[in-house]
Amino acid sequence: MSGRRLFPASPTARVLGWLFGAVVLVSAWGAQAAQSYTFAVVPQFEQRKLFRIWKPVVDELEKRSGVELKLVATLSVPEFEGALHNGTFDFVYANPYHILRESAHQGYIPLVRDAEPLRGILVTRKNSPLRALSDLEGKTLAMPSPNAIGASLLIRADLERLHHVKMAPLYVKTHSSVYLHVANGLADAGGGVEKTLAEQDQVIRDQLHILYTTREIPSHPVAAHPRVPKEVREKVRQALLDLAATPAGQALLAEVPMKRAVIANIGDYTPMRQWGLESYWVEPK
Amino acid sequence: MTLRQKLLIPLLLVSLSTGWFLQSVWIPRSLASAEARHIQLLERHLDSVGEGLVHLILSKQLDAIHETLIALGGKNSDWVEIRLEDGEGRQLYPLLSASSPAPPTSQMEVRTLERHIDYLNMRLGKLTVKIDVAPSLADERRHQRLLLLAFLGIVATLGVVTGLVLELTVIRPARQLAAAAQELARRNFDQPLPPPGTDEVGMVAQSFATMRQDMRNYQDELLHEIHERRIAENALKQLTETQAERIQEEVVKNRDKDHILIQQSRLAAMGEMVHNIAHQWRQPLTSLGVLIHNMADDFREQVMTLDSLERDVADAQRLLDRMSSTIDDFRQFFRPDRDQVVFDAARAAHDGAFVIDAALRNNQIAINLDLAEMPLWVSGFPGQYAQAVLNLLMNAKEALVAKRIQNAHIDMRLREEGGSVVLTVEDNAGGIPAAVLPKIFDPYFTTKEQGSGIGLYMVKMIIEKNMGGLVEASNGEQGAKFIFRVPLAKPAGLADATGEKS
Repeated sequence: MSGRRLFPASPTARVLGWLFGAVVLVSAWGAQAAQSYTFAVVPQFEQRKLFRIWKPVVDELEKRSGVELKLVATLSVPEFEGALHNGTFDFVYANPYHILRESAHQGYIPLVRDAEPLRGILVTRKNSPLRALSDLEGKTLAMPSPNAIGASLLIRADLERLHHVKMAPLYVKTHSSVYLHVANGLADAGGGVEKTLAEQDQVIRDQLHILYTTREIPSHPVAAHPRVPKEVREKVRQALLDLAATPAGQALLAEVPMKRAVIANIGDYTPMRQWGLESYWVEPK
Repeated sequence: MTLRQKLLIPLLLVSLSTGWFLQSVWIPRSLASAEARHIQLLERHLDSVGEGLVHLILSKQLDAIHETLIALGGKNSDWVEIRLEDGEGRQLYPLLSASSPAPPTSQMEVRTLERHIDYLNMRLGKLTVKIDVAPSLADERRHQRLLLLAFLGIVATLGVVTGLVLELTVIRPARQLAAAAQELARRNFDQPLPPPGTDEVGMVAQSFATMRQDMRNYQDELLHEIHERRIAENALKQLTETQAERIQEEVVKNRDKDHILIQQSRLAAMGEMVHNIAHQWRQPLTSLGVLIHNMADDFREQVMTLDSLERDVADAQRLLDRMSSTIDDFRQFFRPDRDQVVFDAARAAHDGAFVIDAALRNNQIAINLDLAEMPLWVSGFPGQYAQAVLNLLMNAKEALVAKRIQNAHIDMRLREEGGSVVLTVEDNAGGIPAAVLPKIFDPYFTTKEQGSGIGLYMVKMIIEKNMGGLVEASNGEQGAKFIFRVPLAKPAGLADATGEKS
C-alpha cells in the first residue's frame, strides 16, 4: 500500500495500535461467549400463565445446557406467526403446522416433542342443548386463532368436509379463552386440544362437554432456527431430554404439556401436508 | 366539698366530655372520612383496572381477564366479590357455574362499587366489586381506639398524678396547718407544721409559722406583763392600803386643822363682830346715858312728869330694842348652816357687808353696794355665802389699811348674767402681785405676817365645792377683783330664805 497514512507510524502509535487490536479481539471473543438465544413459546395461554409454565423450564434448560436463553412471548398467535415467518426467534415451541409450513422458508429444525400426540376437540357447554354436530350449524365457534392446528384448522376442516357444518368463527386468542367463552355461554362451541383442556381448572372442565375429537397430530416440537450452531442446538436438545428424564423435570414439562419427551424431526410432521389444511390457513396480517 | 373533689371533678367532667366527643363524634367522623378516602382510592383503582381490561375485552382474551381478576382478587383480600359483564350484560367473570361467593359475615362492612368500562363511546362492560371495608377501617379503628385509650390513660395518669401532687403539696400541708391552727386555739404552739417552701403553700406555712411565733412571743410578753402587773397590783394594793390609812390620817389631821382654822377665822369674824357691836352700841349707849342723865335732872328739878317719864322710858326702850336687834343680826350671821336652801344672794351679800360695815367706817373705807333690787336666788348655804363675802371684804380692808390708800373704797356689785348670779368685789388697794395671784386660793398660803392662809381657801371651797359655783381672782384697774359665779336657782322655797330673816 502506497497511500498516505492518517497518523505517523511512531513507536507509540504502533503500540497503541496493537493494544487496540487486542481489545477488539478480546471484546469479540467475550461477545461470542455471552451469546444469548431467544426462546419463544406460542401464546396458547395468557402471558402470565405462559411464563409461569415456561420460565422454570427455560431456566432449567439454561442451567443444564450452559446456553443463555431468553424466554419471549408475543401477545397474540398472529404476531407469533409473523415473527416465526421472519425467523425472529432462535428457539421456538410452536404448533406443528407452523413448523411444517416454515420448514421450507426459515427451516426451523424440530428437536424434541412430546411422545403423546395432539387431538383437536370441539367442546360445548355441558348443559347446552347442542348435543350433535349438526346442531352447530351457524353457531358461534370460539377458537384461539385461525391457524391453530388442533383447535382451529383441523376442527374447521373436519366440520366442513366431513360433517358439512359451517360455523361462525370467533377468535379469542388462547385455548383457555376458548374454554371460558364456552363455559360462560359467550360462544356456542369452542375449538381446543385435549392437552390444553386437561390443563384447565377442574371447575372449567366440569362445565364443558367434548362433542368431537379430531385425528391425532404429532405434538408441538421445540425447534431451533438453522442459524443456531448445531452444538448449541444439541446442547439444548440434550438438556431437554435430560430434564425430561428426571421426576422434577417431568413435573415441570407436564405443565407444557410434554409428559414424555422424545427426539423430533421434520419427518414426524410431513404427513400433515396431505390433510388439505392449507385452504384453511390464514396469512397473518 | 374537698379540695381534691373541687379539682378532680372538673377534670373528670372535662375528660368525660372529651371522651364522649371522641367516641361519639370525632371517631365516627374520622372513620367516615377514612372510609370515604378508602372508597375514593378503590374507585381510582377500579378505574385503572377498567382501563387495563379494555384491550382484553376488545381482544376477547377471557382467560387473561380471568387471570387478571383472579390475581386482583388474590391480592385484594378485602374484595369479597368481583363481577364483570360485557356490554350486553353477559357475565364474563367469574365462571357462570362457579359457586357463588360466601355471603358477607356480620363482621364485614361490604360496599358495592360499580365501574362502567367504556371505549370510544362503546360500552364494553361493567365491573362490579363488593369490597369489605372492615379490614381497611380496622387499622383506623384500632388507631382511634388506641388514641381513645391513650387519652383515657393520660387522663387517668393526670388525675392520679394531680391527686398525688395535690395530696402531697396542698392537702396534707393544709391539714397540718388546720391541725396546727386548732392546736393554736388551745394555746399549743408545738404542733408540727409543713416545711416552709417557695411555693404558695410553703409561703403560707412559713407565714403561719411566723405568725405563731409572733403570737407565742406576744403571749410570753403578755404573761410576763401580767405577772409584773400582779406584782405591781399587789404592791399597789399594799401601798393603797397604806396610803388610804395615811390619807385617812391626813384627812383627819387636815379636818382638825381646817376646823381649827375655821374656828380661828370665825373667831376673827367674831372679833370683827364684837368690834361692830361695840361700834353699833356706842351711839345708843351714849343716847341712853344722856336720857338717864336727863331723867335724873328732871327728877331733881321736879320737872319730871308722868308723861315725860313714860316718854323717856319709851325712848330708852327703843334704844334697847335697837341694841338688841343689833345683837340678833350678828347672831343670825354666825348661826351655822345645817341644810342647803335656796336663798337671796343679795341679802346674804348684804349680811356679809353688814358685819364689817363698822370696821370699814372706822378706817374711812367707803363701801359701795350695788345690789339688785329683785332677789337673786341661789342654792346653798346663806351663812357660808355671807362668810365668803365677809372674807373678801376683810382682805380688802386689810390691804387698804396696810397700804394706807387714800379715798379707799370697795365696790360690790351683784347681777344676774347668763343663768348665773355674779357677785363682783373690787377695791382700789393696787391689786395682787402677779407671782402671788395663782396661789392665793391655796390653803395656808398667806402674805400677811398674822395671816392664816385659810380665808380665800374657805371662799373657794364655799363657792365651788358647796354651791357648785366658780371663783375668779384678777387685778382690776385699781386693785384686786374677785368674782363669784353661782348658778341661778328657782325660788321654790321662797320661805326658806326669807322666813328665817323675818
